[in-house]
Amino acid sequence: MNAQELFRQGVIAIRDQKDLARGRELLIQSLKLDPRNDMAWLWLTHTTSDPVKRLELVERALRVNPNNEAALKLKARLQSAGQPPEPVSPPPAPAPDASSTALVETEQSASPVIEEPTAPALSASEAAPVTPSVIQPLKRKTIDEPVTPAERERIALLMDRADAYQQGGDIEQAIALWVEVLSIRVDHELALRNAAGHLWKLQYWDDARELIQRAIDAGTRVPTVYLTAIDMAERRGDTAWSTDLREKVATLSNPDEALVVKVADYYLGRGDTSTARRFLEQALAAHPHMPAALIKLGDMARDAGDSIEATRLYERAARTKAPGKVRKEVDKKLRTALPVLTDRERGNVWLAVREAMGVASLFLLLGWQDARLDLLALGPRRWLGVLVSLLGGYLLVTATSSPQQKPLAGWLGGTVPPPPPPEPPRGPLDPEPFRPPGHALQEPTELPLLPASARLMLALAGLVLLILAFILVFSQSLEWVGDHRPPYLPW
Amino acid sequence: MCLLVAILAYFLLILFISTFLYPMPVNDSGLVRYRTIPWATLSLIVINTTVFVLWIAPDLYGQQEGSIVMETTFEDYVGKINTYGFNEKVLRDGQGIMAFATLTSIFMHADFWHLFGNMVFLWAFGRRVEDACGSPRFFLFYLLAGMIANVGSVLLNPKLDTLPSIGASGAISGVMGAFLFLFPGAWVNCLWGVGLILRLPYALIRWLSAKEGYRFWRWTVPLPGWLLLIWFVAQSFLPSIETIRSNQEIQGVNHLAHLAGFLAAFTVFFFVRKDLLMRYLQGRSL
Repeated sequence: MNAQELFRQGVIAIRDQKDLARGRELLIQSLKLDPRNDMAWLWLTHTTSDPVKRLELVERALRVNPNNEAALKLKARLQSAGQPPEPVSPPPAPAPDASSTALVETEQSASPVIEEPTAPALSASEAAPVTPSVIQPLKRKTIDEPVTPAERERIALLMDRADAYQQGGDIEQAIALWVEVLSIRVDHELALRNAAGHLWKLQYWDDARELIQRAIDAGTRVPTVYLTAIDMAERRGDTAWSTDLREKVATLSNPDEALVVKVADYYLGRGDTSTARRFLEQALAAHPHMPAALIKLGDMARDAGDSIEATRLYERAARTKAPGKVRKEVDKKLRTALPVLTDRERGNVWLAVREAMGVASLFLLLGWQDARLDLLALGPRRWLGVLVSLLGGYLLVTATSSPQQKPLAGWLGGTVPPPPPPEPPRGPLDPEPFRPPGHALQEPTELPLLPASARLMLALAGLVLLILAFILVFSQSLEWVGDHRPPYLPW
Repeated sequence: MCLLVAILAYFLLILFISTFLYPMPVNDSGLVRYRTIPWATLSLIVINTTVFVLWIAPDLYGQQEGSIVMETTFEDYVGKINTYGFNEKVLRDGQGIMAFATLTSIFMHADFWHLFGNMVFLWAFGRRVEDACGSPRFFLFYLLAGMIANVGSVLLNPKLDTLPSIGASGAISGVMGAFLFLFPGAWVNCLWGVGLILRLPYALIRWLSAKEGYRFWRWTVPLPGWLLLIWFVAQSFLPSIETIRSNQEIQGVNHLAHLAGFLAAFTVFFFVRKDLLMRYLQGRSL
């Protein structure tokens, strides 16, 4: 039986058959399925004589539909009289054939989302006692507001009681207590998980969502809240909500990497690789320095057969100054992969000078030996040769391995090379494209590259300078080698 | 034909005995990052071998005209070593080809076993160092390490050395030191008789317990690179100390040059590829 039919039967039982107990039972069942039926809440006032409970039920109906005239009248009378009046007769009982229309109208008039309280499941026997705690508005407590010791004690007490109710099978009462905990601490992990989980099982989807969303809106950093919310949204097929949630997780001001990875894992577990990838890319666009997310995305690229992209992502992860464990993990993954060259290395002048110094040190050693291992006898000629070798080495290095130094490449008329064309997508079994050995993977560059003609000129100039340097540092040996005599044999 | 077979058998026997004494590295079990063909290492092996086979070996193993028994043309051989080997006295006195000898001596070897041992070590350790540097830079590093080894052996030894020194072992020591710096966690496959015997019981147990596909026998034993290299340094260090302490001329193996070459490995950081250097400085493995 659906909610509308239960409501109709409940009204008939109260109005026509005067069977209040059965009517209450039917109405409660109806409300379990559809807690936004304000008329059902109003008809429930007929089933109790307690004025306080009646007032609470009327307020509940008004929360769902503040324009419900019958509820407004009854509330006014209850408040003004100060004593229990007879309940106002609700609108005429729905006729069997007209009930659906009336209910549709009720649903349309109700606000789409319950604003304040949640509606836990109500058992027929405990409806009245449970309702007050449930409909009590939650205190808006922000995440950053610390819980006072008194509140902590209260939470512990409520949780214990809720546990006892849960073990006794009284889920409704337990839910009410968890909700009360949440009124103190909106993202209390255990209370939220239990309350939302049981509400979900009882098919109070909107209320479960309301609890979760409230914690999220308050800016909770509890990962399970987001994961639960995403799970709920996906199970309900609520694409808009799940998209919104993913965006929230991805753009959290203080991102939780583990949460990001878990969300991605959640979608991977569902076989939804594209959503997982999109989500990770979104998260990395907002926070580029998340090594675990980069590794996860790299793993996905690798699994998709794109080892090049995987390498790039691992390399990015390795450069984020990740903690030791993550660094070791990514280091292990990169051990057999091609290195990646980035603008940081391309544009660094000192790295190029370092290579030139290697060349110059070779010439210094040659000059030193030419000066018969007497450093003081090197003389200006050989020292000049060493300096010339430094310059020649630098020019040669610039022309060959470091043509994008900042700002040299810009001064010499370099232009930023166009990005390489995107590679066609490959399947996991497709072979990797051929790459010439000896080259690192090229990250997209924003640095100007020396034109080929300039590089050629620099290389030639460098070679000439190195030859000149050799002549300068090796002057004496060069003279001797042309007309050398065998050295004296010591034996 | 019989002579060739006899030479080959002799070679294998010596190799077998020598691998009992010292593990002979064959190759590095790690993958090279840039996947380059080690052109410089191969070229150096070819150059060294060519120099020896075409220039030194005929004098060393050649047969003099008219003689019945094999004997060396010793004078020519000694003359070449004396002229083109690195000799402190010759350098300081300004004789011969002077400082050019520092370059020529690196490509000369005294005999076949000298050449063979050096080339095996060059191949085992040079391949990966070259991959980390790139061929031209590796070649420069090799020359620099060789020259530092030559100069170092002269500077460390207080006694004026009048004997010539030849061989690529100083440069190769530098390559080995660079290997240790750059790849401290690498494992090297070695021919090692003792290791093979020690491994027999273990391999037998594994073979008996393995379900399928276990290779019972391997000719090589993987050993940690650092262990081999530290052992090599220790072997060079003690005789070097003895040479310095006793104030004697260096005779036989030039351990001082090995030690100096090994220390020259620091200069590899001038030549390592820049992206790998940045990785290294971040504490990541190459």
